[in-house]
Amino acid sequence: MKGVVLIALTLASVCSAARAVPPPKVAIDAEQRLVVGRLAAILDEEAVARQLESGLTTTFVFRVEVAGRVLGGARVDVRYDLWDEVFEVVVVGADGRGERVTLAGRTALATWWSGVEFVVAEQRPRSTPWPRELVLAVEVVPFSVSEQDDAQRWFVRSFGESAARTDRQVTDPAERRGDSLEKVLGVLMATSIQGSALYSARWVVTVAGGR
Amino acid sequence: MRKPMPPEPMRGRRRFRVHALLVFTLVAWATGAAAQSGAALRLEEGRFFLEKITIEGVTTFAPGIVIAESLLETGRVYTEGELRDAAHRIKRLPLVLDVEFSLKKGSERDLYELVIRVRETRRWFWGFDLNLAGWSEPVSVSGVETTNFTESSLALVGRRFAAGRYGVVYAALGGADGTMQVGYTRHDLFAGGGFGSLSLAGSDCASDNGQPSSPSDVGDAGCQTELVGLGLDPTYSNWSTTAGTVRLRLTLGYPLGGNRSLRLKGSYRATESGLRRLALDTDPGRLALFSDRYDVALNLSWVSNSVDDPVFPTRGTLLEAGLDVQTLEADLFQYDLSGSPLAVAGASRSHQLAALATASWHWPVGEQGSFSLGGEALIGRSRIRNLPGYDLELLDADVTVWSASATAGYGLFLKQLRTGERWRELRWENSAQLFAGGIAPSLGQDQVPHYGGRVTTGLTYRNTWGILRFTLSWVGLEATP
Repeated sequence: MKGVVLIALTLASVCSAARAVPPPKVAIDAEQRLVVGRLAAILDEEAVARQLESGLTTTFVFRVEVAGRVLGGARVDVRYDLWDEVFEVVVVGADGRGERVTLAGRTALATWWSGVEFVVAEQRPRSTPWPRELVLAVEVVPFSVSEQDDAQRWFVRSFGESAARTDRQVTDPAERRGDSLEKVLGVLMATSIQGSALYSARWVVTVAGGR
Repeated sequence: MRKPMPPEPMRGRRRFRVHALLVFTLVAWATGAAAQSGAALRLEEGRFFLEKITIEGVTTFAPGIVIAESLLETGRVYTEGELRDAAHRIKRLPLVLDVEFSLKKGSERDLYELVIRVRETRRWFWGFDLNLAGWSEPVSVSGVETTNFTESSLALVGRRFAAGRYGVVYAALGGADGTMQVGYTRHDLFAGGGFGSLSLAGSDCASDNGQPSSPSDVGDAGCQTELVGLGLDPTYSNWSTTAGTVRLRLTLGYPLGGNRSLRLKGSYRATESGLRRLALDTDPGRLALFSDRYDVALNLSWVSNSVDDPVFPTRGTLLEAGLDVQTLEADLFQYDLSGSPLAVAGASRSHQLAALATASWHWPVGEQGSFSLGGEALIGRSRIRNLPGYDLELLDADVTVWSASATAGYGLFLKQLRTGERWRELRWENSAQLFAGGIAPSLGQDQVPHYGGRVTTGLTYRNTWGILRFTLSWVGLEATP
């Protein structure tokens, strides 16, 4: 009996290891921003794959955290056009810049996904360098993000105002982060008030590069 | 079923986009969020012409119920937001645990088939709710003793049966309304997605051991205790039944479009005998016996509901505003154990007409948590006749009644398993509530609590069979002259 249990446990751990998704790459770019790339192969996760094929919008919300404190985030919206058989994709980074691409089919999406890079946190104050390790989390949310705009604006404005208040206490102009915080919260809140996450993952990643 | 219409012409779409752009620009300007914000760049909202709607995963009741509750119909264009609202409406059905929407190509370009995949609850269902509460003031529950610690529990087991294309019949033992209840719910009433629900409950209050142990409880032998609202009984009294009770409930809902609806709720309850006890009376000897009691309540409300889940709400808003009419009548026999003779108070009547508004908002916090804010306000007029007060006098007055409460809550999923046949959720739930209420003039009821607070923490477990809840509360009451 013990042997059966041991075999079952071994098989379970092997299966679990096989299912483990490798972490994305997080690096510091030339402008001292945090950039995420080499995105993990979560598109093949059952719930994600089903939603991607649903013809409705799938939103990927990325968040970087240190000790539970959110440093930044980014959002990727994907919708499959059933008739044109293309994926419409919009990426919005923490710098507020966006990219819109149209990809012909699942293979093209997977290729783009593994190669895309975007900013998840803007430049930090000189006195506080980026940590060597941080947590990168992703949530996959169904449905469009363009509803509930009132709630979104309320959140963005509330946090924006609180960021502005914090901003006034900062003496170094280089440390004024109010704007970027508002952008980050805009990115995050716009999606996180939507539907329940279909899938979520967290990785502890080592930050590559830096000063 | 409507004949499918061709999708909107390109010109119409372009006009829509121009309007959308204008609206967005104005909104961005007005809020100061500006287009440079990350929220500004997103996919245009999807708009889909539904040619067909298919329901999957429904085995225990009629698929027509899902379609009726969705308020979706073929031959129309829906935005993704409208589809999401429809998904939330379906998920609020007691028959449904979860729902998933997906599209398929239709028969022609730009026509779609909507596939609604439903995860059902079981035919058999159960529920158990246990609350242990500490009180800042000693309260009476039943009999002649007071306590600072109360326990209330509720157990329920029942079964649902499909009844026709849009109906569900259920029967249950236990529950808040009595030891036995039967009910029938009909969807797609009024030919437009309305619904109606009728239930009949009875309890026999079989033994003394079944007495309730909380100011609002159903004892284990069907004896019911209720803390009656200030508008019907301004003395803050418990009314405990000692005999059988029959209760009839009727709810009708009529959709007004989107998440909005009109709702009419009615209730009639009759009981043969019981005990009325002033909840905060320090003199344990004073109480009143009652007989031939009945109460009627009618509530007509406008409701806007975008909450995603009725048990574990994590996002969305619930707004209700309406009129509330209540009547309570009973023959009362006032009794003082300290030696005063039994006095007949006679027939007592209370009527209340009030405006009532409630609101709650829910937001997710992090991956597993959610934060809620809520409030309720009531103001109305009450006519009270021949009701014994704290000093054994009979109250006879017309008063203005008001009450308000505010609640903040935080919930955190400790476990969420939603795969295949396995469905389990365990949530830690916390809430803090402040409440206040009163009548004017005060009628000399100085012991009536005018404000207070309640803090509650507990665990709730849900699976495909039912819900198990265990909570601890602390209730602080403050009476002011």
